[in-house]
Amino acid sequence: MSFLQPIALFGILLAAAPLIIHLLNLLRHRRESWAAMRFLVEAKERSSRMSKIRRWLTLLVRMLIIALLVILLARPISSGNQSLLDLAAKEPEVLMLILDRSSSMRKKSENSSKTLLQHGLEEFDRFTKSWPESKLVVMETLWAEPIFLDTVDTLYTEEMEEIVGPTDSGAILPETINRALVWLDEADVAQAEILIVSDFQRPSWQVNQNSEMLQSINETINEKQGLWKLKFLQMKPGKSFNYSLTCKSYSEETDSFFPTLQILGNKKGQEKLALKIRINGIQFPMESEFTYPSTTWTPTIPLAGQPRTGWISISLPEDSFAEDNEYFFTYGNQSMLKVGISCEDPQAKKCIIAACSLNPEKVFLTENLFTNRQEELIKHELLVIQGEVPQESQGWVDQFLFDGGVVIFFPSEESKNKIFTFQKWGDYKILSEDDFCSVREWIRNEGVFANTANGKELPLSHLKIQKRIIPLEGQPLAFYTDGNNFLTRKIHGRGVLYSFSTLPNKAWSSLDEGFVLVPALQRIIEECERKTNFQIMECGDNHSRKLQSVLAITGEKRDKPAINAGIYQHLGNLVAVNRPADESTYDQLENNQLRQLISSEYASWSDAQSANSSFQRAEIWNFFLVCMILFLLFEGALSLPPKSFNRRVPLQ
Amino acid sequence: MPLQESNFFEYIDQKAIARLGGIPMLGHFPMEGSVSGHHRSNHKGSSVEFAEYREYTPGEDPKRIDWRVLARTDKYFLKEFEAETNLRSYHLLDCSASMKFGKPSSKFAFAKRLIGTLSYLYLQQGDAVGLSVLHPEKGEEIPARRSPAQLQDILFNLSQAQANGKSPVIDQLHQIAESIKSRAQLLIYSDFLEDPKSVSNVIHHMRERKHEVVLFHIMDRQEVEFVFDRPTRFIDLEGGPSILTETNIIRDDYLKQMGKHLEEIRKICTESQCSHYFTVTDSRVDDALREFSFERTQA
Repeated sequence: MSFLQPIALFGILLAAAPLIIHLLNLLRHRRESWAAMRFLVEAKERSSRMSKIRRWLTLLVRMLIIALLVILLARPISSGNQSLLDLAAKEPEVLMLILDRSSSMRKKSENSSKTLLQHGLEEFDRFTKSWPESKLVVMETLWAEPIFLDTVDTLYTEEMEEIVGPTDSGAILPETINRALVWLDEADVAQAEILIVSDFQRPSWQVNQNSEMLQSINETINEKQGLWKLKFLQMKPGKSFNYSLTCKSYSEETDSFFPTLQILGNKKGQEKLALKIRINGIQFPMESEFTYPSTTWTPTIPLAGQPRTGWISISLPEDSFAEDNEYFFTYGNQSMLKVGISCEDPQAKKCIIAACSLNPEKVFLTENLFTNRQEELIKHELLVIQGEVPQESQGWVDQFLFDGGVVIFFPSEESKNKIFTFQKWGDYKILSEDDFCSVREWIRNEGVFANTANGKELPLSHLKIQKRIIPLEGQPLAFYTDGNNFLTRKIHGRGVLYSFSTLPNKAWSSLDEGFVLVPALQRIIEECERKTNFQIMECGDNHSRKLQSVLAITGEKRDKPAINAGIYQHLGNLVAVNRPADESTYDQLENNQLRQLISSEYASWSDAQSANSSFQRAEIWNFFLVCMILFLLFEGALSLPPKSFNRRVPLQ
Repeated sequence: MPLQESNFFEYIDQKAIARLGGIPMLGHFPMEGSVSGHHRSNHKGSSVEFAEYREYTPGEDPKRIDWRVLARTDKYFLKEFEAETNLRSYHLLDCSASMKFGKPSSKFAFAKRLIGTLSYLYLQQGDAVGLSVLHPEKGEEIPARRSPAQLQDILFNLSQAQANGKSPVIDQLHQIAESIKSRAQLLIYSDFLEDPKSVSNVIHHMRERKHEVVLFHIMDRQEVEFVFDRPTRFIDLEGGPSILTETNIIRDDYLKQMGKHLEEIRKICTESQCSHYFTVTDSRVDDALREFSFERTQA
């Protein structure tokens, strides 16, 4: 408990007033000649113990009433997780808002016409009211830089729109929180209250990938022993009907454009959607079937008669959340994806090169990767490495991954029981010629081994593996019949690391037949393209941030590629910037999942659905007012004459 | 403060006289008077009031035999008549210092007005009235007389009396009970703050001597209601130690004690066939005497 007007607490001395008045009263008594002394003496002797207790109790209650009045005037405040008697609670030096600015925060909140972002800012506004003297700092997920605010009203000014306004970007909250804690540490902030406002959308937290970071955050908070407090405020979006549009991949030919689109929706059943397709601003209608919960749709967009380079936008009909209805493409100016290959096994190398170069217009291969100069190596977007990474190159592969590159690892016989910088390998297992391992289970709905667009499974179950070295780290995408990993996907920095357990070599497995290897590598290449292709970059990613002096072709002229999706003109080229596909998911983080990692007692959780979130510090004067009234009533009851009290002696 | 000679008659309450003066007030018990009057005598004699028939006993005066009855029944019967005599009323005024208490008039002043008024009424109906001022040092005693000048003597003595006696009046009451030889009406004006047992003793003593005893129990309203708004130091009017107390705390107990005491005095009076009239100093004299007069005019 702390006080908004602590100076008023000096008034607590007034609580002694009833006692002083009592003593003064005794001192300035009146004198009275009296005849019936006999009864006075007897009455005084007999005045019961109860009367004395009653008198002192009355005095005590009066003192308490004054003390409560003084406390009430001092405007006591308390937060939900704070003890009422914790009088040592001080004003925090810094009140920090960590704002999830991802696209999903633009959704309308439950029972309100405001967006989650606006609601979150209002919550912060209320939150700050309790500590008017503290410095206000905002750190949002897009730029992750601390911004100082003079007053909380600054949040609503037009200049702050770029800092706290809505975006089409994604978010990685653990990174932002970590960055905020690092900043607090560097700035030597002793006491801080950190309000984290987020809709707890699963992709914005990536709990599994960031579990170490979240644990480190938990440890930091624990070390601070309550000086830094985390307060998680979950914003819940409304449940009105919504469709969203994302692109899985696309390809283009001379006169046509083939996007593979995914339409997600929360309306059960089947429906015909009227889409609008704009090619260089000219609108064409098109229809698509939608089946709950998602539909993959690959329209053919004719480009005959259109300029050699241009842009396309596909939009769904208006719904409750319009921001996820449109997707942008450019055509005619795609650059080639640079793939670097380093393979010790010649047969495997042959297979991998064949699988990667299916589309030579799109992919540029570099063989014998590690013989090139480092400056050249950095320009790659995908690396396929079989065998060991040379000692001198480990550093830049690490950096490559950290910057967001994708690496596919294949094992070599030397890999067995070794721990590389990037992967830990298990036992080397060789089976007899007649015997083989097979793959039993894999993730079919998404990723590398997802079913094809027409719903057919990849023939993983037909694979025969005779030699294998199991990758132990990362998320398994396919399993052997004995439960070991066939392929894992590991997040390393901002990049992704795929590790196969066998080689496309006849001596190792039937992977060289290509039925599995080719689609797997193609999908990884597509992922790479999505991730790195300059023309379909995502809002808020590194590339979009670096874009300067752009001209928005769609939307408002002041739009920035890092903030708003759309088509931009940059140095004569057209650039399509879209909202991250993950932002369309309805997948919310389960409550316990994050709480298990951030289990500190100094972290509190609340839900903004209630009018005031529970950890907002609230003035608790009403509690003291009620206490005071109760004591007043009690004092009144004590002052009442007892039942046996006779007003006068019966005269006759 | 004693009244000037010309103001003696202020001890006689005009309203009370006007209200109660018409009908004679009679004693509850037979009296032994020297002259004929309104009150029952303990002696039988010639009178208009028939008392009883009684069988003749040899040795009695044969003149009192009812010859008509003898003629009718051949039995000797005496016809007796009640004698009526005058009343001797003694007013006994407690002069202890506790009687000084009272606002606006003290208990002592109020008692004087009761005595003055009753003396006037009794003398007017031909009864003898006496006064005893119960003061250990300055005690005065006026024997009961019927003369009209007696009123002036009584009023003068009342004006001279002061309530500053230290010792209890009980002993003096015992002496008076002993000293008055024949039956009389004894009216005691006091606050009766003494021990109820001693009060009981003295009343019984008086009753044994065949006196009719009447207690005028005079208290101040403050004494019976005990209303004080702040702590008070009570100083004993009779010279005892003072007490500092918070009145609101002891009020309940005080009133209990007081009520119990009054109840005991009442009980003693009932047991000993005495009359007890409780009054407070802010009441009117005619009201204070109303019940006394009512009971005595209904005989």
